[in-house]
Amino acid sequence: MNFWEYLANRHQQVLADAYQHASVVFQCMVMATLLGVLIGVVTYRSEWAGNLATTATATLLTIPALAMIGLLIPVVGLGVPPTVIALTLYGLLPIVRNAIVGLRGVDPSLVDAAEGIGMSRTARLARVELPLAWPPILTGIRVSTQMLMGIAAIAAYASGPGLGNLIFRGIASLGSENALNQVLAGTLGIIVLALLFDAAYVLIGRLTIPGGIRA
Amino acid sequence: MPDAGTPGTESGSAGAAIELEGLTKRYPGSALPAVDDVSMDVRAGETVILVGPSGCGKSTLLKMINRLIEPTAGRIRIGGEDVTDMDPVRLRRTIGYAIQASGLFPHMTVAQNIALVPKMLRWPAARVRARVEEMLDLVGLDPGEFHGRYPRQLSGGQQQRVGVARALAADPPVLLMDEPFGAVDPITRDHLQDELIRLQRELHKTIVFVTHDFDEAIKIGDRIAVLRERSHIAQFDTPEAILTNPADDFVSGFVGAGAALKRLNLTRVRDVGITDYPTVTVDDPLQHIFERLRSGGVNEVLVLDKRGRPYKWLRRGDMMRAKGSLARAGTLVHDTVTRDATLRDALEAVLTDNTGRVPVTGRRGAYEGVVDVETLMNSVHELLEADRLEAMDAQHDLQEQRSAQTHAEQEGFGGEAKA
Repeated sequence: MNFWEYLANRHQQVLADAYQHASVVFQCMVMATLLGVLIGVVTYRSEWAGNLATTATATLLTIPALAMIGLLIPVVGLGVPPTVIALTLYGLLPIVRNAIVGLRGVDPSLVDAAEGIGMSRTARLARVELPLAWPPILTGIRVSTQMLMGIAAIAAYASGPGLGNLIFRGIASLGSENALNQVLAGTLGIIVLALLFDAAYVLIGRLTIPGGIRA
Repeated sequence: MPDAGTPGTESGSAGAAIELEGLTKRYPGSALPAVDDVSMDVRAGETVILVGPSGCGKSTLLKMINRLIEPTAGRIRIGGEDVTDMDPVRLRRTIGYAIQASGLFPHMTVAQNIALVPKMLRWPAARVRARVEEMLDLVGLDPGEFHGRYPRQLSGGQQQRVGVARALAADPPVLLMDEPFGAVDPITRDHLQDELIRLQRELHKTIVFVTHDFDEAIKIGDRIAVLRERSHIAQFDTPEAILTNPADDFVSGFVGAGAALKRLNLTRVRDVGITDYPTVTVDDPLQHIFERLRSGGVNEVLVLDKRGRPYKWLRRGDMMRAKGSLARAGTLVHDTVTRDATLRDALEAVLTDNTGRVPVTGRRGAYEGVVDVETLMNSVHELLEADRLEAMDAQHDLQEQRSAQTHAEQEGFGGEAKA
């Protein structure tokens, strides 16, 4: 059975895995974005807090994915929970770093103007600082998503959802007729998903970055 | 903020007085205060300029008025109300604030920028919309054209106009301006200064304006506070008084050379006599023009175009030489001034025009009269003479004031700031 025949045969299984893969990455990205921007907002005004947040999230990223999931299994069990926790943590670094850089990069005279015309602290953040920092934050989200696409495959190790299952199954049955096809389907699926997500981000950028600051 | 409630201006509230009393700002870790015990009264509807070398704390002083910088000590009263302990966010919504390089938010359109403060004050949407149009109109930008533009699509001068429009949008009685025209080119700066003078004549806000440019200060200020280090007031007086009678070496050093020439910046064409001059229009029959030239007792007439704007100077011999064609005869008018132009501008125009006079124009550039070199000379002489007399008076007052101050200090009271 060649690859195309395999796909025609198993497309339902592949699509279901791809859907789950996309879904888990998307959900983890939403969480990582909320958490990451929150960490950025809380820490960017202090030199050391900002640096601490960046270093802490960078350290998380150095933990091998397999080890992270392995360490989480005894704590939260198998399946979805370790996958979601691991992916969210991995997704944090680019978002936190870009949020801090973006918020710190807002022209101080604009912050002064915002304060001077009577904006409250919250209004300044919501209406001036975050919108101006949004382009770098969005870039961080894009980078994070690309990264999580790959890392999500390892979730299958903890019986998590996604295209990783195809890859792991293929590797486990190397030598059998469909082993290579499974690995190939999983890998290509991840690449296609990553490209689709990236296209979506370009669209989101168009829709959410105001014309006045679009590059 | 109590509204002064003066009707009569098209956009509502006029200025409110500002009283600063013993304002001090001390930053932790520095021995000397950045602003040291400044007291100052700004009258309602007055334009006061804070001018001084960089680092003298003039911006700090300004930012203490809307409490962007919280004073370490002292009181601030606006319109008689003590605002030193008021909620700063609410306070700032009642004080216009314009800064260098406009401070417009690049991600919002011109209209959104201007609407910010009225929206924060929860004006109804329709009123905000109308106000945005009104403000754009006020600062001389066509609402239809500029409404939806982003700041980066505007020139520096236009951005600054929008910045002023935003500051004035909620009709605050007080307007603070921190070197607002510092980042634009000299020609645009000149225009913007003229605009501000015109606006102020319409609106009568209380304006506190920070600059390091003394020429800018004398051009727009009703009174100027020359500040030395730590915002100590070296002299607080009218531009005329500072030019003709600087309080000390620091002030005269800051005024710089050419005080007599700078004096010309303080008087406007409207203050000297505008004389009438024989005119004809391009539509007049040639016969009529010949008669004017022959009977007018002058050897030159001013030709106005169809809309009554000065067009060209026509001498007696010109029509002959041009073989009776009005289109070819005469020399084009290449400079005009308005009634708001300074005598310096007028002198400049008169000196460059070989007729020795310059047409004065009003609305839409229509002819109103001329100013010639003799009028200018005479008024300058009168001005300088009057200044000299005033200076002698002031010298006398100053000495009395100083002795009174010394007395007060010996008694242990704080010095009077207006020394």
